Amino acid sequence: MIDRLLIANRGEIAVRVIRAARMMEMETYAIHSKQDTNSLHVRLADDAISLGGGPARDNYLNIKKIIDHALDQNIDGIHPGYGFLSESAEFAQAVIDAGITWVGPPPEAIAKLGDKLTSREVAEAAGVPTTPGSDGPVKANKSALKIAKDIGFPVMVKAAYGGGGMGMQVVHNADELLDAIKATTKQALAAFGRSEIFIEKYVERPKHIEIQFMADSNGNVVHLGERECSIQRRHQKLIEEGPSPAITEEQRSEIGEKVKKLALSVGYENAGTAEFLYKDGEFYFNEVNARLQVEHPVTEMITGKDLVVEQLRVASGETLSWDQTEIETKGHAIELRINAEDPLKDFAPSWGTVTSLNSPGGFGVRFDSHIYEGYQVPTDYDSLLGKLIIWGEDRSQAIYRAYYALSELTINGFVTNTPFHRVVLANKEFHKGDTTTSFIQDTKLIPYIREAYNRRLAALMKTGLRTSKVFLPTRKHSRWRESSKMESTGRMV
Amino acid sequence: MDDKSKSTVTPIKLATDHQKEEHAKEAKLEKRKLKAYDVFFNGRDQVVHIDQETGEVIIDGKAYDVEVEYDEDGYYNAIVGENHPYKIEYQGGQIYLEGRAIEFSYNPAVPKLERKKSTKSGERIIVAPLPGNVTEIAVKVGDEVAAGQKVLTLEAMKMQNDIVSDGGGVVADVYVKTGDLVSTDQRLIKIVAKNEE
Repeated sequence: MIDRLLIANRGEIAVRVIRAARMMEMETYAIHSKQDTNSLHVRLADDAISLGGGPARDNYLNIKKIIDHALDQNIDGIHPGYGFLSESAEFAQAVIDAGITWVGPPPEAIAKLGDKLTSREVAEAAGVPTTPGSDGPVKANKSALKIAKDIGFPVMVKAAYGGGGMGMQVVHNADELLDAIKATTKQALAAFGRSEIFIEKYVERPKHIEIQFMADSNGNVVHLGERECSIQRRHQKLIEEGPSPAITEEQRSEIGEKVKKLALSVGYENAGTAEFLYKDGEFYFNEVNARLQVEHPVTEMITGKDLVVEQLRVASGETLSWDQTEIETKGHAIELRINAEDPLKDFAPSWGTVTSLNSPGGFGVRFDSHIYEGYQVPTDYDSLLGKLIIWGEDRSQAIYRAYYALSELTINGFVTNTPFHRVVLANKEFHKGDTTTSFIQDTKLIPYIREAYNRRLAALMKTGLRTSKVFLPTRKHSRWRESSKMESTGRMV
Repeated sequence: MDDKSKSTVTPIKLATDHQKEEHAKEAKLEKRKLKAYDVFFNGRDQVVHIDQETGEVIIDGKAYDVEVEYDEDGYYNAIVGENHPYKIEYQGGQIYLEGRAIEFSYNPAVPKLERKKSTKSGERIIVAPLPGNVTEIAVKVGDEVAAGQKVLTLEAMKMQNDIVSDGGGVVADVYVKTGDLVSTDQRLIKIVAKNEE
């Protein structure tokens, strides 16, 4: 078993891993950038070291620095979290070569699954339903046109090494295809360093369904059911839930068994997720995320299994704690990603210092976060502040509980996306489970968010005028504002 | 959700019903006597007007009628429109909205002095709204740009943010290059209005 675990990540996931490691009586070792000096994971870990400032490539993405520190500090295990180096086969190999336990899948499996073209082949071989598409990379020429016509428009032009919603384009007719391939090739080369492009059928208004699985080094693998993550903007998930209201027990078990076959065929170990688009009863394989995912708590809440603890166990060579018959789901869970983003400004990032924070509590309420009062949100990283995860006996109860838990969540100091969640949780289509990846556009929710905001502002304004409180001129980030706060509150904030 | 199971109107049911409603109507603002306020609410700065005759609150060109009832001990009940009640509390110098601590302040707007970063008229400097990394410059010196046109892309918080020109003109200077790290309010691009305008 690992004794000293280094967490090669930051933010809420670093905190999550530290919590699991403590349960396993491991010493925890945090790394951080200069910008993250005051981050919670640094404070919670038993030990922490700064990898210096600058962009992520100088710290969180710097393989050499991380390995050197690990060797220097007698680290015997590294957990990569998600993002950063979590899906880097090179990093995984470097960790293993240094004689350190890698909490993740073998580098060969990461490499196979990280390449969209080989992962497709692997999926097909395992009998996992894939999206009709080109058999390999295409160039902007006649044969690409023929392939697209055979698949049928609309098609998706996709960079083989892309990710995060970048390097893909929907093409609705033959005239646009060649230009789209050229543009995406250029984009892919610039962003990912590889220019391979492939074409596949574009599934319009699908659901996003993903299967969580877990494997050990002794050839055991289980699936832990699905999560639905249809509520997205710009291909970034905002709300995840499980089980999906659209999936039946038979479908779950059928697709789950196929995913297990896929995992075994690449010698997979540790936690992974197979992502699918789903429409009208059909699954279309998208990719495997060869790592822990942001939304893993949804599965934890409905299965009662601590996935991160299990990751640490199987990485140390232990056999999976459960076989398939021991995985049962109970109730329903919803995860809301709380981001420093303004839904009224097309989800533009906001930032600042957390001036006040109150996180909700109660039965079935979980808030995984790294923020605290006084925490300054750095602009260098993604805008995730935390995840509010709610469990209910059924979907309806989970939605109600989520709505009221959210109404207790207070984060002041900058704009967050909580009003977006509030409106979705009260939405009829969402209640019915009629959710697709186009939900935000189709439901036209944003005007309601603005309207609700305006009403609250109007209420505050009129009440303010009624109270005869004196307010001095307010100017952002100035002594004026501080003194005006003092005037109205009687104390320094 | 099963609406028939209970007849009580809970906040979430109310919120669900509100999504069927028409939004507030655009208000005709001419001929109104308006008083302007600079308002700060949960991270946003904006101007709100009060109609001096009707008492309506004007936000984004929409009029909101608010009835404020004083309950007791610093509790207010503000009803917006027909059926949107909000509980507001002034306690220990802190304001609470629906039980949550909020940040809210306002003061009568002072006529704004145009805060131009440049000295010459007809010049505008586009500055970085947030710190980030310049990933793309969409214009070059001499290019004509229209209001709202994208001039560059700033990557911040792992998102690509389009920076647009707030007015038309000709690009006179580009102060940054691709890959530059910029801080808030750093000069990015100078745009000069065309002579005939």
